[in-house]
Amino acid sequence: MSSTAKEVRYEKGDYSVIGSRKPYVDAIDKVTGKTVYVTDMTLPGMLHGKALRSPHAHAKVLNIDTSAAEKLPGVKCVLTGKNVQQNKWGPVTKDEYLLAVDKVNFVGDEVAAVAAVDEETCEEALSLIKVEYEPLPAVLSMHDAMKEGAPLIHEAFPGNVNHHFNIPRGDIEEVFRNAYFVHEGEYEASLEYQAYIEPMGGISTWDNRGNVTIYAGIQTPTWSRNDYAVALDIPVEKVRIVQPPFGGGFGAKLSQQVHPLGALIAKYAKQPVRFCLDRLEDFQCGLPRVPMHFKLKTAWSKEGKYLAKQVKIIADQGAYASYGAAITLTAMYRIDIMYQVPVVHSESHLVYTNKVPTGCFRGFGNSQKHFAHETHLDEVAERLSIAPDDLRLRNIAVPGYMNPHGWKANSVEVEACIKKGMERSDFHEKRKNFLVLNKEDNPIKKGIGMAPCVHVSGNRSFIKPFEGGAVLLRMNEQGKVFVYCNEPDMGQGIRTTLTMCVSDALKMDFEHISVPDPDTDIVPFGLGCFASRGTYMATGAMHMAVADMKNKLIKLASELLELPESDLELKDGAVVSTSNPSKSAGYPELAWKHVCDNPGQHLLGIGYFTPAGVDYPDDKKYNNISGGYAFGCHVAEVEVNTETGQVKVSKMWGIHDVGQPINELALEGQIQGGIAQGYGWTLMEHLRHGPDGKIINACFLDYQVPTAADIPEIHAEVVDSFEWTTGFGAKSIGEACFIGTAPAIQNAIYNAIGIRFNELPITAEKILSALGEKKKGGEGHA
Amino acid sequence: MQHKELCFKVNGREQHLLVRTNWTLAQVLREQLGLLGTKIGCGEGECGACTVLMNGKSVTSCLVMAVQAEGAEIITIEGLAEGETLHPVQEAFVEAGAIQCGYCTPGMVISTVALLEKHPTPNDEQIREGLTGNLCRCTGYQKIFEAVNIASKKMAGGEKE
Repeated sequence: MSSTAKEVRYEKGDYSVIGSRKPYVDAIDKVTGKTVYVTDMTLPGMLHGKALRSPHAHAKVLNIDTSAAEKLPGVKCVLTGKNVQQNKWGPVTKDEYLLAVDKVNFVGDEVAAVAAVDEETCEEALSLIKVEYEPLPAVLSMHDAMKEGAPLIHEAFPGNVNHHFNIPRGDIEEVFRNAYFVHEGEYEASLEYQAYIEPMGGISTWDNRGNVTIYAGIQTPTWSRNDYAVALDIPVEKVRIVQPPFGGGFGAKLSQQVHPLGALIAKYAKQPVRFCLDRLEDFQCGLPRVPMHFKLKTAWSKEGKYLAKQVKIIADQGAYASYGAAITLTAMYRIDIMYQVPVVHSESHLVYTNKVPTGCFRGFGNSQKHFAHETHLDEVAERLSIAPDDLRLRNIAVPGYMNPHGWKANSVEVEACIKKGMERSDFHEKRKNFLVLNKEDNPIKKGIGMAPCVHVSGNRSFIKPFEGGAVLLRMNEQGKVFVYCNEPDMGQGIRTTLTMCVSDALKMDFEHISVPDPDTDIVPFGLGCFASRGTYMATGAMHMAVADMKNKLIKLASELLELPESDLELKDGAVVSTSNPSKSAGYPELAWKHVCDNPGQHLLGIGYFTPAGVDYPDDKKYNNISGGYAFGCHVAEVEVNTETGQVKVSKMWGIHDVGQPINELALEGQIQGGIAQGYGWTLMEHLRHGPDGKIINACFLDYQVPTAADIPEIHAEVVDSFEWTTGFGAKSIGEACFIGTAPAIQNAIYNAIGIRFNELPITAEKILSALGEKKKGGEGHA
Repeated sequence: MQHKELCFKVNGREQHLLVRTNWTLAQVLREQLGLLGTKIGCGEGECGACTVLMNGKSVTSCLVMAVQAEGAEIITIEGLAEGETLHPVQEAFVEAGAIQCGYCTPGMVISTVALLEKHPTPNDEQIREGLTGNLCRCTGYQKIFEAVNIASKKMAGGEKE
């Protein structure tokens, strides 16, 4: 249950390890090649699986002839939608089969699958399967999806609309009528691919009682069991997921077709099956970012007071819905916790198209919105002749701010982030200098731009009564502590974060602390790493778990040493008498005593955490969705070559409010990595579909992500902050660090050449063409 | 299915293997020698995760046919450390926090070794140029650049710390 009534206020502790800089605890295994990733794994008796994918964007499946494939030596089984037990599934809308039945909806949709002794035999078998299609007209643009007469993709969703949301707060027309200034703009955020370096995959194995174990590259092991059980038409208790190390996720690796489809193949093959995508398949069906079109209309007073915001969104979820609805909701209003805007009206249509299904990606819709909104705010600042940072500061949220949706921000240091960002980048001085410099006859024009950002830190769950997270500590008979938690590591470093918390609170060395790979048969229930949950939720629960274990250790030592508990403290892996430090009991001794006194029982530290003041949204989407909100400010400095259209980002600054930092080294790495990914989205990356619905740049040669050669220098820093709703005061950074980048670069480019590019990515071609238009006397807009 | 005998040296040891003629060096290293540190990120020579040293030069082993390695000397990520002692480049990657998910790390480390062989004290441009074939999606490369500089200093000083 939620804890709305309870006012919680944790205090900052006297930390020794927390707040320091620690290399990842798993870094040595990674740097020596010893870490075994999902795609490195094999199981005894393992076969390989491959899927046959639709070459059509939209087509009826008339007939599938698998006879030749079945006869190929080395093939164990050939599956189609007609000869397997399956259900339509999906995390929000159940609209996708594991193997298509009667109809395919995008290029890459799975129509058949094989299991065979190796991948080459799989490929050969796929080539022998004959599918008869009847191509149908396809919807290839979100702007066409709702048009009269548009082809219908899913029978259950007329007009190709999966969700329509409308959230009015206050009388917005009244505000627009009376405002000093009303500004309107349109913006579009493009399809970006997560491009983790290890493609998606898993290995599945079934026992004779119908239980399946999936070793999966997955961010949400416990939570996704529910989805996968539906797809496989088995009870959820029969699904076990083990999460070995995997090579990056960035949101793509939540519930994903690849895992249950691999499990389905293994079920019919009656042997373990490795089902991993190759890079082309990963590009074709990896759930990239939801593209969105925004219409923004805002109202302002003469003094720059933000009076009202109206947003209308069309979001393109591609062929299947995935998390589209939740992502679109986030795009509608999450930013409303950063500015004090009394009247807000948000509306959206989430539409199906015959393109790659889209899903979660760092920012969860909020990145798209920040691009639109923070571009828009720069336009307003210029019209009102107010400096961009000043306009934001005049409207910025303050600690304890409650917005019109019923969300409450607790610690808020966004003002400090903006001010530090301005100071570190020498923003105003540079703007002055560039104004003069850019008048010179030099093809290189310089600019600097900024954008603040906000994201949740531990969004509440999608299940009504469950809000929080848990940690279970187990001290074995040698005094080694194992940490079981369902906020897993995907490279962001939560394993190290949790190790540091244990080390700090229980005064132990890292080498006696282990965070095993999550296994849903063992770990407490939890949701997984998304919505920037890890640090906030897991350390919140950890705070309680270490306190529990500390109390138990002191009680044991008190009995063993025959000293009062009040005389005892933890020090260097032992419980020590404060009055006589020569009297002490090491953890191995205490752990062994516990195992003997309570035969066989390990010492447990149990921790759980429910953020205060968080509640399930009502039918009007009202109620606080997050215990903490993480803030930041990004600044970009650019040079635009007006002869080639090329943009060089010379430097970026990411200043963030993450509450109490746990691991400063990892924190910097997250900020730098987030900004780098945002830089790619802004200037380079765009997954494009051809007129036949095929992705035309489905490889790293054509879909270019930032390399060492083009990445700007990135300065990462945090401001003083403490989030008092969670034990160690820490907020998460995973997504906030991405979100401010695109608008900051956009605003810098405008500062350099006076042209805005309201559609991502801002490529050299677009810039060159817009400069040509501007020369001809066109508008300063593209 | 054609096979051919392959004689080459991997991480200092002679190997004589019967390999399929259509297999890549990466496949042989991973599937016949169990050297799983060499990762496959794209299989098309574009991400650099499979980078190994071949006769002292960095190559993407997913683009080298195994039979082309006849007589060659190959060093993979598993061959860099001497017993328990990490190679200075490995030490530097750990210290600098240049590793997140770690999937690009083996290839990135091998490319750094090759880079420092060519430019023992590289400037910024040489570092960027030397690592441009290795994609990393987690770190934003900043801490990898720091790691290269730390490794360069370690190797110049011949010191372990």
